[in-house]
Amino acid sequence: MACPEFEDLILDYCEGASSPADSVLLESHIAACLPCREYLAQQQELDLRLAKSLPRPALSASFAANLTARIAVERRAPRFRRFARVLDTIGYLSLAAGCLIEQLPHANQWFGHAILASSAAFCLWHTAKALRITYRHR
Amino acid sequence: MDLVSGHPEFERLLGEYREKVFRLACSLLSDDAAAEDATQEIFLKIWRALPDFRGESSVSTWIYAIARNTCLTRRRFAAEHRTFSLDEAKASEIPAPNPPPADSDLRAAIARLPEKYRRVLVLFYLEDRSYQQVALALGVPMGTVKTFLHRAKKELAVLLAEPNRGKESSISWPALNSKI
Repeated sequence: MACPEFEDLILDYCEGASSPADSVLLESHIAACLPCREYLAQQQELDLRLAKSLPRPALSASFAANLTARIAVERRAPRFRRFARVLDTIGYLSLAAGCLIEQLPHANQWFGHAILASSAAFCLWHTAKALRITYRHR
Repeated sequence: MDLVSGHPEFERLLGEYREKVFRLACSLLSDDAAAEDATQEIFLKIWRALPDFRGESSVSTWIYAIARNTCLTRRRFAAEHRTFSLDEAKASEIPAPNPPPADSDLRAAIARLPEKYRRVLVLFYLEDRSYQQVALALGVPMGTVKTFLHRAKKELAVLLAEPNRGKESSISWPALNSKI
């Protein structure tokens, strides 16, 4: 077991993160302390093994082409997104109107039905959006 | 490189960050293919949101936040919808045709580390041993990165010194890879 007060210093040293003063302190300590010397050797070996066994992954050659294709699909979709925003706005307005009509004592019945129908459409729209988000990774 | 984005700033960000974002995705997700798909989704989100980016935070902070959120959403989804087919069950009983990689003991030990330590450790070595880069990518202070990294290494040393570590090393490579 390494001396507890030198354990983190040894790890810093292996990671190249110890200050010059700490390095000098550690080097003079390990010269006289066998457990710390062994711990340093063990950590240096572990550092090398980690660097070897965790190679940097690389993106595939088709990454750019696939992203290009996905962006192209997105670019064809702005009309749909605008339509979705309009539907959202109508939905919010109809919900607000529905709440207002609830407060009015002599409101038109058919108008109330229309408000309810558009509120239902709004809810359906949001449900569809939620489902799309939920299942798009499948 | 000339993509169809038609947005020079996006092209610049793609060139500068795609490998970094991919490495972050690799450390957060189970495998390289999933990480690459997530990287595409992340850059699609960046492409959509870039016109509205107001520069309230730095670009790198913004990009890494999108990357982390996307990967964590995918992980949650994968965890909630994990299925185990009969074919996979049979395959797990059959020994892997290829010999395990050279340092399977180490990989098995890494797979046994707590998630938060493993993530920091893996990313530290993928990011050329930069505390700063890991802190930026994971959105945590540099001191936390250093603490988690040191705890991970201390725990690894203990796990590697355990006499029964051979049991873990018999796990096939894909199973280990899915834990890292």
